[in-house]
Amino acid sequence: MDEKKKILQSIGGRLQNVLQNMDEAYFLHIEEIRIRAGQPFMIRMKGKEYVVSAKGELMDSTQRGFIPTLSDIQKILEVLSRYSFYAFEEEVKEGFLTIEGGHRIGLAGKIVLENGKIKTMKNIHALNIRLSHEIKGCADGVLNYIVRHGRVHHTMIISPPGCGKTTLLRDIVRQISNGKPGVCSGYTVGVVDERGEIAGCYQGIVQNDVGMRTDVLDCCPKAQGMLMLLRSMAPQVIAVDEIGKKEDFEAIESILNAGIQLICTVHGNSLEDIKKRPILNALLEEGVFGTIIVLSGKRSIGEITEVYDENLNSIFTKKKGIMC
Amino acid sequence: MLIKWIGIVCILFSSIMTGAYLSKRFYFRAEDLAQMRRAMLILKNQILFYSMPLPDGMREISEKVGGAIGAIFATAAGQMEERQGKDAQSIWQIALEKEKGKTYFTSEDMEELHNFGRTLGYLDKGQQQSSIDLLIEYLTDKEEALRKAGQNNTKLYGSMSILVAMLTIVVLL
Amino acid sequence: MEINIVFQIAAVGILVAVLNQVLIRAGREEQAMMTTLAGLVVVLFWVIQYISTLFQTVQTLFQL
Repeated sequence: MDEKKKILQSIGGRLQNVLQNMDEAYFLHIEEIRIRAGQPFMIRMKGKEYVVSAKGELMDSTQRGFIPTLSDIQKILEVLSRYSFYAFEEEVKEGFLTIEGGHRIGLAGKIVLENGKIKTMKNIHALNIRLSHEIKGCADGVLNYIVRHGRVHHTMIISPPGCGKTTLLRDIVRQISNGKPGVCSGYTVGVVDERGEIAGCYQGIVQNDVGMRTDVLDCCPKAQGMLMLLRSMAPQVIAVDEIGKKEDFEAIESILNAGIQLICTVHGNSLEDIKKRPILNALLEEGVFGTIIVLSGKRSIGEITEVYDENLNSIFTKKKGIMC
Repeated sequence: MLIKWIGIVCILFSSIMTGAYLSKRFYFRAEDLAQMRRAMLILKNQILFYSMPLPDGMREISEKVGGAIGAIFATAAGQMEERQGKDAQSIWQIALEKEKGKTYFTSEDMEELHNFGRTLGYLDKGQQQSSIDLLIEYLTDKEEALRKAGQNNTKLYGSMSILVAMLTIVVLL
Repeated sequence: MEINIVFQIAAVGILVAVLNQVLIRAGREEQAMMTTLAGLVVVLFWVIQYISTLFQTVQTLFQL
């Protein structure tokens, strides 16, 4: 199967042999591969964690599976980075790398400081390979709320970490950018992808489908990126992930003044959480955001619990649920 | 009598040819070293300024440099693109061993190139740069020394070959 | 005894001398030494039987 081959290709050394023996069907559902030196090799699949034995069998976490060593991790990094660890220097400082296919590798190791700033990471002893699965069409349910009366509204997505907000944002961007017959025509969308998650750029080539009218600023600080897009690419919609810093809001103000629609995500469990944060609350009070989507991680990943309009009236509450 | 003359001509010819080859070999080795140095400079540029991935970089070098040195890079790039999960060091070694016959590198040069391969793939920019610089330094020094010795050697091997041929002829006569 | 051998030895002598000079000029004293030695050995090899005949002649002449 294709998926297995792709994953196997990017993992080298002994781990490759382990995975080689694994059933092909599993590879479609792997969410995370965790490799820690001296600890069992683990795989997260459908929300559950399994230990993998040396023969590639899945076992529950009470058993000891295959134990990778430090040199295994080095080999894997070498192959994952396509023998070009140096090319990921900036990303390593942030603690992750994005590889071909838009997958993200989280790193943990010893941090080397220089003048109080992170210079690089050495002795990397733990990897977390997060396989990005694009879920096309997961924004179908909310698109009608974002695009109302024939125009895109300012949208905020509230979600706890790891609940699918980036996946949702990516699909919203894709659909708005491509346009959807009967809902909206295509808009020019600018994406500021500070952590390379939305578009998953690898060597300047967008790996995830983010639509035909989408311009991506890869690995750019959000505040500067938004202004850059505003000045240079004349977008109609700007999408950013995880706003929260002070300078972000200054940039948002310029965007709003320029009449560009904003789609952003914030960390939080509910609307109440956001109201406690003064700057965000001010934006809410002004009624800037025409659509506020709340995701919940409680029941299943990517489930939409509430949608509010600009007056903070609930226009959708989860009854039967829009599953992604 | 005729056979004697044929023999004399044979000895003269082969000896002069051997002399020419020996003097050219220095020149070829210097040329190979220069090509390798050029390749390494390109690689350094690619790494420092473009953060280009190694397989793409090596492919580009193989196109730019060509010849036996280009073949080394082409083999390495091909192996890397195959994605069998081998580490960069062994890929580099395989490529060197495979194309060894086409180059004029001595075992000293090979040793140095293998050493360079050991640092390939997992280092950060600064370290990768210094390892490339080390190799470039070696290549430059060797090439310079060879070019200096080269002119002397060409003359020497030229006259030597004729003299040795005549000596052999006289001895055998 | 043929006169040829004298010319041959002379030729070897000249050639070795020139080779020696060339090698010394190129800074390869060791190889120069080796070629001189090789020339000497070759010439000795040719001459050795004549020397032995000489000794034998001397022996028979004085009936030793």
